[in-house]
Amino acid sequence: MDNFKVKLTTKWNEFKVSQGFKNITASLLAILLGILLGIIIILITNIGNSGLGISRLLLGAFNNPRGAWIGIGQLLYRVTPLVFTGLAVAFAFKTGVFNIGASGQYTMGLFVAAIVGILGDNLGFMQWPIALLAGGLAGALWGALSGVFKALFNVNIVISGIMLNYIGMFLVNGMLGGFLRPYMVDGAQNRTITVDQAARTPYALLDKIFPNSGLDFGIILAIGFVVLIWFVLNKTVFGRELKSVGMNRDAAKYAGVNEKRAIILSMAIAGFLAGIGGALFILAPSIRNLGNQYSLENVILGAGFDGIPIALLGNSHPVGVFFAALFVQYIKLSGDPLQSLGYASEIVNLIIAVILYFSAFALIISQYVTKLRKKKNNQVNDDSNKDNGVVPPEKPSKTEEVIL
Amino acid sequence: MSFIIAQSFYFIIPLLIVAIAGLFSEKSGTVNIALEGIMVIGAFFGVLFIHFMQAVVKINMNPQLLLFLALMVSGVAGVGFSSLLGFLAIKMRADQTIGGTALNLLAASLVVYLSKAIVKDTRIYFSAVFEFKSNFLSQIPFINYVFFNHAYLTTYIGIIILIATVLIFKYTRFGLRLSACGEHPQAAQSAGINVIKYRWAGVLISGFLAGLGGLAYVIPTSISFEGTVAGYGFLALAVLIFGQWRPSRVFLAAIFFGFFKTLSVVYFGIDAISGWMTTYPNIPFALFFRILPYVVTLIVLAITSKKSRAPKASGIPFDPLAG
Amino acid sequence: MHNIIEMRNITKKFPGIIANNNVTFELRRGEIHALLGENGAGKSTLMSILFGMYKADSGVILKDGQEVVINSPNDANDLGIGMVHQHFKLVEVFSVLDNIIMGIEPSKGSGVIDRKSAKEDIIKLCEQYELALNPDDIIEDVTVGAQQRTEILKMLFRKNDILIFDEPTAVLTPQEIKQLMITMKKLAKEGKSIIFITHKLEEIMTVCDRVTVLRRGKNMGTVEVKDVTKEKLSKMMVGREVDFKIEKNDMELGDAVLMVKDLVVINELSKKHVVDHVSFKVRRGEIVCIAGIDGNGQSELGYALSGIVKPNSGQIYLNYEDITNKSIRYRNDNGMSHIPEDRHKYGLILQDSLANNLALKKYHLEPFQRKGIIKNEPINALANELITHFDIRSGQGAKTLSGSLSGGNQQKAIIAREINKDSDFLLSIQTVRGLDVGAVEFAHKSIIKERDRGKGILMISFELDEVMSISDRILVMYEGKIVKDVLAKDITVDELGLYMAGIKQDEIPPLTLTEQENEKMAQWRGNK
Repeated sequence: MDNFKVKLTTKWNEFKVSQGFKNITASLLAILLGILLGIIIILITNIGNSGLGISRLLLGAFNNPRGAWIGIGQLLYRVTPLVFTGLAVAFAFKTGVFNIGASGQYTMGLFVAAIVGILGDNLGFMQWPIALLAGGLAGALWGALSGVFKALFNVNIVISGIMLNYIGMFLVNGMLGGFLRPYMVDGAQNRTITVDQAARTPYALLDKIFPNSGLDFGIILAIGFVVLIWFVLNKTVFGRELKSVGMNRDAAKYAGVNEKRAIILSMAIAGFLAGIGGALFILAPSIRNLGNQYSLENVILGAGFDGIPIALLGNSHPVGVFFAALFVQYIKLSGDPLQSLGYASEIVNLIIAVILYFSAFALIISQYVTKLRKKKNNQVNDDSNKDNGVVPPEKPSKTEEVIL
Repeated sequence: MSFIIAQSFYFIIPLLIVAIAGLFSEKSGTVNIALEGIMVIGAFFGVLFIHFMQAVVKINMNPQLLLFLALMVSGVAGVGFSSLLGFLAIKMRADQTIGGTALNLLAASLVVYLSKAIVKDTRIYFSAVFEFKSNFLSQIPFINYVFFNHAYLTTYIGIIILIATVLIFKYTRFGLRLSACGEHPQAAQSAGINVIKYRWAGVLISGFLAGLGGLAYVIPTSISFEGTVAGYGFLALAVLIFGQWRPSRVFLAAIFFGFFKTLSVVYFGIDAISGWMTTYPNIPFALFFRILPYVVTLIVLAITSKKSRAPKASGIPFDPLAG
Repeated sequence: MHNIIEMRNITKKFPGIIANNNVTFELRRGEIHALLGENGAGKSTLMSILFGMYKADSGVILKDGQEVVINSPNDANDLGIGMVHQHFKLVEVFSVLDNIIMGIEPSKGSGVIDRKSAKEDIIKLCEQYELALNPDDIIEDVTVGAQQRTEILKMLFRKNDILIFDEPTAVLTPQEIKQLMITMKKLAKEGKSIIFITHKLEEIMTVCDRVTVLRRGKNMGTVEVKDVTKEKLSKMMVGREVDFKIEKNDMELGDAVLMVKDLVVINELSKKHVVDHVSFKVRRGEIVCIAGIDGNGQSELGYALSGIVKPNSGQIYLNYEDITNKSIRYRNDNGMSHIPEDRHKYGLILQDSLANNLALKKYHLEPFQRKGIIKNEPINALANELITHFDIRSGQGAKTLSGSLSGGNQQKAIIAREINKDSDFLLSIQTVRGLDVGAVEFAHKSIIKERDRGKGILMISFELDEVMSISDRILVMYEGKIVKDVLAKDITVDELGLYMAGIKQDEIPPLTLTEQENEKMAQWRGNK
């Protein structure tokens, strides 16, 4: 038993000085600053209700009118698409590519899954898995497009991502509003009709554990994919190669990695993940099996953009992404309760944007803080590396090269 | 025809102004992905100002003067917002793409939030009285139509900005030094130039112009602002890349892209096209013209990006202490 | 004899190293004073302090006997101090004129640049100091020599009297070096005081009045050039007798492990033939070195051989197999090792562990992976073996982030990895750049060992010392062509210089294959 304790303490001490620990503290710092700003906004907007407002903000998902337990269920239900878009952005980041086009991939996945889900009547019990897979593949295609533009034509990936977001949205809304309208759209509400029963994600007993929360098998899939992506990135040759491209594109090339192939495949996988996210949304049975609908408003879906702060907070690590997604969704669920107090629900989006802003340099702040602490303790530097090479003054270290 | 040319100016000018905003920033060394967000902020505060003056104060002011003041408000708002980018990129030397994206999201949610808080609506309306209606040079009907009878103050301001930019970079100290900071900041530093100062100047000027550009986008084309500029900030980036960071080429690129954006709005007004539309009612012309600007952007960039030559040090944080 | 500059008791520390350790340095008016030392001795640091780019931790600087404070290059410039850096501080897209006036642009008012009067002044300066330069040329289009002259003119335009040259000859041809020496003498005659940072003894003997030697951050002494020999300076610099000659056995040459036939690489942007119909062979058991000034196509030849760049025409044969169009991975797996030119850009993934870097070219092979899944034990075992055998010093062994290794150890790691591949052919470019004498010795010994084991080695080097001491055979590249193919023992440094500058050019006969070789190639094609 003592031996175990010793092992644990050494592992903890090792962890404390590791890069991973620094990254987590940086993320927590960014979150703290974001929430602080949220509190300030609440105080400024309406100081009268602020006490209640702040508590509702912090309670997040637990605010559910039917009780905290159902709140958790709702949290897990709503978080599912975010886990996927977070993974979509994170996976691409590992290869050094900024997947800002996750929204377009998500929308494409949603759209194709809806087509199969509404029009695929004769697929029987296969309707759901086929709809899901089709959605993933549609997203993969959309992601691969961005990848191709980057790898083969050197087009800035942010621009291609944004362009494809708009093209995707207009295409989908155009088709749904056009020749698909009579088959798939509820004219009065300007939304798609809900998918067939056979196309809906099974509850898998989760509706018994969290009744009326909407939670379905999707969360299990999300966790499954987190594990799968972790495995691919850390344990396979393929994942190792993708990461090497993200860390040092030139050295990866020198080592024999085909970086064009890596970028395209990485974006395809990222698109697949985002597509699955969109598919799971539209295929969800939701509360009381009412199903979900997609609105034909010309607005780019926010779920894709939410993936960005999630990926960064989670430092592009699959498990980190999962928890970051939980946090973001947790905060989002305070939107409605805050609204009913008279605060606009957009506070939540503001907070998330602020968190993203701070996470861009939270790591640098925490490095600065560690440097200050080192100075205080007057640490003598390790001489074991001294070898006569010229030592340049410290440069800020970048853990990943981001390819534009 | 004059109608179409006049309409296209409404789209070209804001593109031009915002692309030049991006130019100032990138030439000094900072990648500005946040042009979209700054436009939104600028448009918001500008429209809010106009709304306030028209609907609340009910002031009786020359509309051009009102527009001019509003443009200044937009510019200042843009400066304020872009200082967030400056802080992140120049002071903290953090990743500029991520920071820029953060600012875009921040602008989007901030503007909706403030809109709801101040006017209790997500749309802010204003009275569209800013069109120039002058008979100057009416002997030349085309010129009169486009430049004096259906023009906006913003058109002239846009052209002035373009000319000023060309002159600044060709002939002035400021332009030369700013370019040096974006090409080889270490060389600039050892020549005695305060790189940090010039990079800040680049970002703040960028903010002013992008904010102004945001309002310039909204005024001629609608009667309200509802929190988005439909990807214009990113189109401006494409214009900048297509124009290879040279003011005169950026102008041509703005005309090119602005033309397609215009088409997406006026296509049915072109006789040939409306003819096709009646002949082939099943082809989704509306959809086609709507996505055309974005598709054209992708294709053009695909053709030109291989030989693209951005300012060499753009996007690379500058550490004044690392010799 | 008047000291125009004095630096007294200068100490400057960086994390883990004392760059300048209580150094005192004096410069007399009108002299050319060399600052000699190996890489890492502290020369650049000391001069960077003088130029205001670093601040000393302690010590004072005096000009004309008065204490001065230099916090920035501006301050240095105000005192008349200018510096030509090793890596030029020039904006490539600007003209020569704009680079010179940048920061002190003359103006007739309201910020508009007066280029006309600036041009006149510059032309006058060029005439006065006999410097050939066209103010309207764009910097990225002119020769390295012209770029350096632009740097010199920057100093003259600013009326600097104290001129610091940091390793100026590293990038020049022997003829351009001679020209620079003449220019320096002229500058000194006109009253300028010059500090010449270098580790090249020959140049010091030619042009300098005095030498100060730094070693490991300390001042080892100042001597008059007329009172010393190269050997004495060398000893002061490294603290021991340096063996300029490397011990080598004679080797019997084997098959041609590498054959290059009529290779052409064309630069996309400039359409120039940067590699212009190059043909040569490398045999087992020999070290062939490509000499030449940086920028004559060696880098591109290296990229074509390693697969990073596709040649426009011509063939490359590795062990008689045509690999011209084969992927980098194919070359890695089929007999080619490569020590790259830029160890940070290509050689290592700095954010990754030493172990992963040591296995960088093998992780996709068994036993390091099975069915696509990485196996960590074999990787660590390999890493530990290499760390011991090659004496790679690292803080935490195989787990260390390679970014935290010193330059010398990083290069050792790359050498270790490439030699461990046991390839038939080793391509090594700029093998010893930035390494101290000890690491250089080690690198060269390792390469010679591989040669003795029957490998064929092609080196590309810009250091004439290295070329002369390690090669069996030398090829000189000039403007993309091979202009000389000769055994090392049959040529002198001076003659090499003539070929490097393009003053002499031999016709190199096209590649001829012996009957045996033709058979072997046919065998390969037949086996496919």
